[in-house]
Amino acid sequence: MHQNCEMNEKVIITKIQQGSREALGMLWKSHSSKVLNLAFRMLKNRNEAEDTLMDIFVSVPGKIQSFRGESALGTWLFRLTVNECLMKLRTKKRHAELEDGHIDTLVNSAIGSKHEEQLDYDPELLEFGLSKLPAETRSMLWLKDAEDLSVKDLSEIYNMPEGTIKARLSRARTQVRCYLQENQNYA
Amino acid sequence: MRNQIDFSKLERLQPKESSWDMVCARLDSSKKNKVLNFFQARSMYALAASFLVVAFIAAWVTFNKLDSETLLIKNVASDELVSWYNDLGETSDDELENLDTYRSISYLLQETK
Repeated sequence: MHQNCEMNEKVIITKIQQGSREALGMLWKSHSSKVLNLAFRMLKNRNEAEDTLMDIFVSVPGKIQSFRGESALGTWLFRLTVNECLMKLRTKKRHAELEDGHIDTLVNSAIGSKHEEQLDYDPELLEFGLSKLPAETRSMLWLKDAEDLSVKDLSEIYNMPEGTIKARLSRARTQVRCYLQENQNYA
Repeated sequence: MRNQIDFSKLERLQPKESSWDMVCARLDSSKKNKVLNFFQARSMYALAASFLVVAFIAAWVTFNKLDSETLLIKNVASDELVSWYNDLGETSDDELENLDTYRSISYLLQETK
């Protein structure tokens, strides 16, 4: 099954490189929702996320010409999405969104490194908690915990060592849990 | 995994139905733009080529004009005069005397009539 998927993916890549609209349509069907959700998590705006999704798929036929197939097509698409969103955020000068330094200070005052039992959090509160993270970390956490990507994939997407990814994920989870606990107590 | 945060309850967005059509429309228009850019990039060459063509035509017309002037002389003048005119400078003797003699004889013949 996995081999079959890989083969299909190679066929899709080749066909898109040859300019097949049908193959691009197949890619759209299988990955557009994931790309949209990732963009939405990063940009926090539905319309901007939709625009980003379209921008990415318009650029795919051109950019796929240099795609060497070293990573999965989905991973490659996620990398395009992350880069596109970061570029848009930079253009908008939302630098605060991109700065990651303040997480550590928050984490130090949080519930500690011990992992909590999975609690049944309010989705809206979780959305807020997630939005407190910087865009890049937010997307990282989303891809790991919602899209179930491996640390290796994330390392390829963000061009960072796996250790750095793990550390960031750990800090991000702690921060989100901290936010959820604090606000659930108030609710 | 227990360590992970459960995002399953968060809303999963689906792309708008019109989005794919918009992607196709943008891809089509970018193809057209590529064709336009192809021509725009070559417009300078086309302009230079057209200048060359105009210059060539102008030179050709000028040359033909000179040639047609020669033809006019040929039409107006007698064969002998044209032959003499063409041979001018070719020999040391330009046969000016012969021409004068011919003209003198012609004049005398006309006078005697």
